[in-house]
Amino acid sequence: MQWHATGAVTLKLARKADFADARTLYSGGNSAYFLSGLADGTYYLELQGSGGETSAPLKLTVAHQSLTHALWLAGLGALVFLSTVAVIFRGARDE
Amino acid sequence: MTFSTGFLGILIYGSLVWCAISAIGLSAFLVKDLVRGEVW
Amino acid sequence: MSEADALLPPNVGWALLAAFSLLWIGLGVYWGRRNKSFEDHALAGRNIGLALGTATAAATWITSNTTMLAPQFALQLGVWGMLAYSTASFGLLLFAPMAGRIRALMPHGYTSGDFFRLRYGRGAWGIFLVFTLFYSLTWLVSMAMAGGILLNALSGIPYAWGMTVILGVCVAYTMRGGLAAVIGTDFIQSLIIIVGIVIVGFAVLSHVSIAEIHANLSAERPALLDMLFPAAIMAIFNNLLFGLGEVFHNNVWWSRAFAYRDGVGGKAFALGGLVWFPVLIAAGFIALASGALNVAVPASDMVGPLVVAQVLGEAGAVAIFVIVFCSLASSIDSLLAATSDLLTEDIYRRMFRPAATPARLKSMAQYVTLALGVFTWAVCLPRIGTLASVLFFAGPLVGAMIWPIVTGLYWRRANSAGAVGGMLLGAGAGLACYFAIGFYVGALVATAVSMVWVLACARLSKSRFDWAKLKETA
Repeated sequence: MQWHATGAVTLKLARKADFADARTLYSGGNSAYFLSGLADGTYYLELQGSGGETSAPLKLTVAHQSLTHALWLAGLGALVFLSTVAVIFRGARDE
Repeated sequence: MTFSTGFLGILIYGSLVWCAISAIGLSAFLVKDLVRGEVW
Repeated sequence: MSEADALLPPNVGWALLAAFSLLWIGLGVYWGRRNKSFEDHALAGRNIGLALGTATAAATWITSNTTMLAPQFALQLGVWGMLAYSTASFGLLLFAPMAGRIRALMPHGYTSGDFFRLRYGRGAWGIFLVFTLFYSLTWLVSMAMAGGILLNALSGIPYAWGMTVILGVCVAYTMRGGLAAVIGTDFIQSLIIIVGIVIVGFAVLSHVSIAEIHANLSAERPALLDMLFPAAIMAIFNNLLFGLGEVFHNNVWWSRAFAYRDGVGGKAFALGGLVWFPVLIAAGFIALASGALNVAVPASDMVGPLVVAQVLGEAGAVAIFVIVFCSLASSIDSLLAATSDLLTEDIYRRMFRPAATPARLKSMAQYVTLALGVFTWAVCLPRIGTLASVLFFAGPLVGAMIWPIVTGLYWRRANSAGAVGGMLLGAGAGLACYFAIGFYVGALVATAVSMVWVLACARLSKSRFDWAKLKETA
């Protein structure tokens, strides 16, 4: 995520809309932060300037891809891969 | 279900040690090839 | 890199760049003096031993993607992401038995194009050339661009200069020294990369323990440790097949199969795969430490260098600079050499000048290398960011070539209809799914469709290929 600000800022992440359980992700002079690896659920982000002014909270919903879908694809992949391996190791039989 | 600390440790230390072994192995191969005059 | 400042002062960056450039060009000129004919230039006299063979297989496969994208991958897809990317080493491991067979079936071959032409005829050969040139050129462009961008981010050297120098140096020593220079420098580069990664890795671990990394990840980025992280599971086999397709078809690897001394090929590729396997995890875990070390990451693609520079200071930044420069050079040189051989052998010689002398072919290959360099430079200069992502379109193209190549090497009943149809149908279906569903199915669907078609054609085929046809001389 990116923002425009002059001076240092503090970026906070919380699970509740009132930021009762907020934790600080970053504070400093950068204007971007890379967020990843969150579990499924809803999150709120807010930005605080060095003077104490606060941005409107940003709501973020994390939903990972369906696991069933992923396992089907992995199954197909395994089949194709193992067949390829089998052809290579079986070698030339009809010479 | 998550990967444990132990697994992470084995993964990371294992790969670093493996890299170190490959570096030593490659050097040893080169010396062997040089001695036999089979580099290229 | 968006906002943070460069990690090294530009004069240090320039000094490192100059020192390594002189070293590679000097070695290229020195080794190039043994090359008399096209065979010497393109295949280093078909006499590469095990040490150089192993190192060059590993080094060529260690691209800037391995050392720079690994931390990014780890940060986005977690532990599974690193494991999934490590499966790319299977490409080298599985090519090992094929390399021995290639050398035995085609003792006089030069390129993977020769195989398609002799095995499946001109139709399949043409499709192969289009696919492989698309892949090779986008790979070359994406790496030259990555070179300029990384050198800029690491040391503040302007993009255009960094890109020009790295490309210019590789063109110079590849032109002068041919495959021998590429393979010789690869050995030195692979040692520098591996030793550098080990030193950096242990240095980072002396500042933060595995338990701290794990505690920080479970608290702040739990999905990265999840054993059932769907995005990562989906990507595994697609990555794997993409890697297989890249290695099986590309002349970078075939030219090495022809260049290794008899009996060396299989061992060298298998050992190269084993050398490559841990590199990605050793380089990638650094990203997972970013949270525990309190390194703020403005953009995921700079996480590796940022962590290292913060923990190890300027010495760490120098190490990263050298590792990146070596991983870029070891891949750009191989790609330049293999693609110029492909253009020289398959297009210049086989389509236009079958009677060209060995000396003429050698100088032609040198001019083609230069032309490729100039072309890549011109495409990279405007720094169009989206160009590098075009490489992902290549997934379906290379996936569709896996089955025609593997069955063509082992089955007499594999035929042209199977190869042509497999490549076209596979690539078409793969590209359609790439755009309709997502990047993580492109190579997978392409390989699956082409497999079904190739198997059906082989089943119904009445023809039996005569292996002796592959032994074409001159």
